Amino acid sequence: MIAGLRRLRARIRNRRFDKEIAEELEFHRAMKESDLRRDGLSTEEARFRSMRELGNATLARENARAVWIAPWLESVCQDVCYAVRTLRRTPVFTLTALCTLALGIGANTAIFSIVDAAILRPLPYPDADRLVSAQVRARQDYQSVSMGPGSKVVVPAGTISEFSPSAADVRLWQHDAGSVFSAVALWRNRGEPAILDGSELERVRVMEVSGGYLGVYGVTPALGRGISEADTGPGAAPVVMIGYGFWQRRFGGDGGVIGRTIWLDNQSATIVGVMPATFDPASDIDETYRPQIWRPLPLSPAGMESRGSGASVYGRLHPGIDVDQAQRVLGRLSSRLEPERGLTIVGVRLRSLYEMTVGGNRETVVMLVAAVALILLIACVNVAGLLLARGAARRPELAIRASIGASRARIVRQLLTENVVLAAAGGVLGVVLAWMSLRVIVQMLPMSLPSNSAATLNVLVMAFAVVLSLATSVAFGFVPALRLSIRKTVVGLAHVAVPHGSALSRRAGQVLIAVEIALAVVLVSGAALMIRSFSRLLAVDLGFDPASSFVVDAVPVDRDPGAQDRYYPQLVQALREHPAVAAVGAVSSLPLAGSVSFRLATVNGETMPVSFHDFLPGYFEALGMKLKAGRFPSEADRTATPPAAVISGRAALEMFRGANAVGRVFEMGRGGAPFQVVGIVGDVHQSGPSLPAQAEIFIPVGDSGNRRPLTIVVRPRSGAPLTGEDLRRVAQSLGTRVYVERIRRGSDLYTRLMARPRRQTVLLGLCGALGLLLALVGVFGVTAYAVARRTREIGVRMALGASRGTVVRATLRDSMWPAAVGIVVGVAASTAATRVIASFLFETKARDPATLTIVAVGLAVAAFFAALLPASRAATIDPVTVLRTE
Amino acid sequence: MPRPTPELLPGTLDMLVLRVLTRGPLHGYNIAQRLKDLSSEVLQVGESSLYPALQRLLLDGLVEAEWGASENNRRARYYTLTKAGRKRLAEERAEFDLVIGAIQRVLQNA
Repeated sequence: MIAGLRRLRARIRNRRFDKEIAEELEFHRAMKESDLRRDGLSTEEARFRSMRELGNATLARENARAVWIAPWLESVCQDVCYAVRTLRRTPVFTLTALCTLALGIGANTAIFSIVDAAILRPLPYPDADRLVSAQVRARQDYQSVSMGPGSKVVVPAGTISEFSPSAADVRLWQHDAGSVFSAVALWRNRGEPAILDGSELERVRVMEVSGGYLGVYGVTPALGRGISEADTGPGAAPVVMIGYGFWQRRFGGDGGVIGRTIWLDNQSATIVGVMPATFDPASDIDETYRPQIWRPLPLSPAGMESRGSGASVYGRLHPGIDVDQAQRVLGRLSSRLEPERGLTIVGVRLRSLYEMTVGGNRETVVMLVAAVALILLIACVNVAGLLLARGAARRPELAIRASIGASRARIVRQLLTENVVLAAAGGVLGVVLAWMSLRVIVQMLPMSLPSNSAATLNVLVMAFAVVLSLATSVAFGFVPALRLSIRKTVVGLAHVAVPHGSALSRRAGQVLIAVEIALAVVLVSGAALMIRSFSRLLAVDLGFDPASSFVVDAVPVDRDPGAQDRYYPQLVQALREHPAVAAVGAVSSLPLAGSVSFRLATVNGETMPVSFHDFLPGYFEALGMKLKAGRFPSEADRTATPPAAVISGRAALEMFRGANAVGRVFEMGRGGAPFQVVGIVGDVHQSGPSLPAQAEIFIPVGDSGNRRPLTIVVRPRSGAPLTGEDLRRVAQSLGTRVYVERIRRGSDLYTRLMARPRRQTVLLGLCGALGLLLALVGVFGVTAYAVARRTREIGVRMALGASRGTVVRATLRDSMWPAAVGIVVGVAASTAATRVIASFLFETKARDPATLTIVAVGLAVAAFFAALLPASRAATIDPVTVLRTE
Repeated sequence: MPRPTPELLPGTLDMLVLRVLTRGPLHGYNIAQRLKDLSSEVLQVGESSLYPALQRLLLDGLVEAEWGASENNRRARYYTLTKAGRKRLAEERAEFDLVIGAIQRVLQNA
């Protein structure tokens, strides 16, 4: 090893080393000369003898050097230095090639770092492949209806479905299933954010967990301790753990936070620990629900006894056991428990946490990887073409090399080294580009990364960049290197001034054009389809007009239900009196806000599930909903009997089968309170434009027995200057202590919902544009080169009588028909390739013929103009000049 | 025409150079001279063998080199034996004796 370091030092001090050896040998020779002179020879003869005996000085020096520096390494270093010099001599080519490569390699590196964060290592916990989520499989002997965003499914009796485990299940597994789980814990996202009281009000998300929660993940708290079994017992002192980010923000990272008390929902609790910095459980249920506070979840609270209560169970499997075995053991244990009414336990289903976290993102990632891979391919083809075109100018140089004694292998090695240097430089530039743009790209991503696994340029990504650069250099460099070294040397030397044939032959250039255009067609059709789908999404009529409205989320700090009941009507009334307000109301859950709740409604003895909201009068007008029949309820209706309700057009269809629903009566639940329909509103796309509208009913606040905080919707008078600040002031001036969480504009809701499809479209659009640009540059380059190469031939033709038009047409034809071939091949390939994005398209088929036609025509036109410019240069060739320079 | 130097067993040149340096630092020409004198003109080492050998010894840290003034005040590079060099010399010598003894036994008794 030490010898290796010495070698390195010798290499670095190359010139001095060389000089020293030369000096030493010269000294040796001088000594020999003086010895010979002493022996009697003349000065001349002595010198001559000594030099002859020294032999080939250069060889001696090289032999001495060879001890230190392996000759092959030496020649590689020489090649690299030479390559750099050669590249410097043709700055335009080098710059173009570098930029092209940097774009291709940079894009791929950036996307790979996202692949790393989303797919390769989304769960940064030890042995994350052992983490599973558990659900109980049971056969229900009753019929139920399952509702989700945009869908309603009737589940007949006898179906086997999955339910969340009960408290009894978990207790059993913790004590008796030691062979299966090394740790198992329950957790539940508490539905409503809680109010944190203190120097400032804040609404926080709370997760309730059983003891041993951190043990499942295998992490230790950053400070203090975790939540233990003891904390979950009855009568235990209330404790909490806080999140790392929350600790930094609210307590400034103060180490003395352990033991402090916080007021959560008007109850005090002691802080016992802080979660570690990277711990941010990517919630599989709702990616927007990231808890900031953890509380103990007692294992036998009301509502946890039965299965399907909404808690989740995660466990860490023992190293030895596999999933099937585990499922069998757990199923056997659970079925021995006392059977629950209506459910027969059939087994237990374990799902890998990794699968749950990664699953949703996989398609998006595949789409992105495919797009940037295509861009890199186009870039490689481009650079290969550039190399070949440039190669013609190098033939004399290479011919001289070959004649001095370089073997073909040596020349190929030299050329490959140049390509590697080019690719390496392009790679470095690409990595810099990726580093600079990574944050922007992550923000533009149409998916959410698990936030504890940030996309960075880590070692793996850098290694990927290196490998990619090497592979790229082979991809674009191999063919040119072979072709350039193939020519006979004699011919090359003799015709140095006027090269006729060239490395980039007509055929090769045409193939280049066809390949690039085909690749570009695939990329651009993908982008075009996304754009089409997005525009269709935008065009969907949501059923309401959110644009100018304000949406206010305010919660009274005093959680006493009476305070809430008083506050909201008070606020609505106060706002109604504000001069700049045209309409104001309140609702329990907004459309597009993400949460939908369902209840049963009974009409004429028939019960069906409907999507359900509380409202305060004024809501419909404030949100801009359309009235289809009847009227909107007013303040006066609040005291009507039966209470006035509003239903959507679809609900009218489902509940009353199209008969006029105004004035009809229905009941909430089975045999519950009756309500009378006073108005029918238009259907609203509750969950966004891509999902169908559902049956909805609106019940006055207070009559439903619901106690959730409401959202106020305010529509300003057109032209009236109303700001969020005005609303905030009114909200806080009513005497009750109120936490105004946020005030948004209606359009924000819409933007947020459209964020994902918008980002997908933008990203893919960018990729398409980039690919197209590169391909057009390729077409331009090849055509320009063809004209330059055939200048003499064109001159001769024109001298013989061909018109300029004929010449231009001939050149264009040479470039256009490979482009046509490329388009045909590309369209065919697109019909297969766009299947990758099929799941992202809204109301657009992956083989939409109209889109493909537009893309084909568009690309043909673009390629035509890209070739036209250089081709028209052919017309300016002066035959006299050309023929004279023979 | 002086008889060409007989073939040395590979590696012996290194050993001989180390031995020659035990008496004190020498420059390259001296080493060649010394070898010639001590061996009664049998071993005449050319520059193309000597200097690579010296470089090898330098690379392995068995000798150290320093520029100094020679007998006639010219700049020359002097080689000194290091501790590692001394150790290596002893090892190689022992091995050499072993091999030579074995060869001689075969030649005498076969």
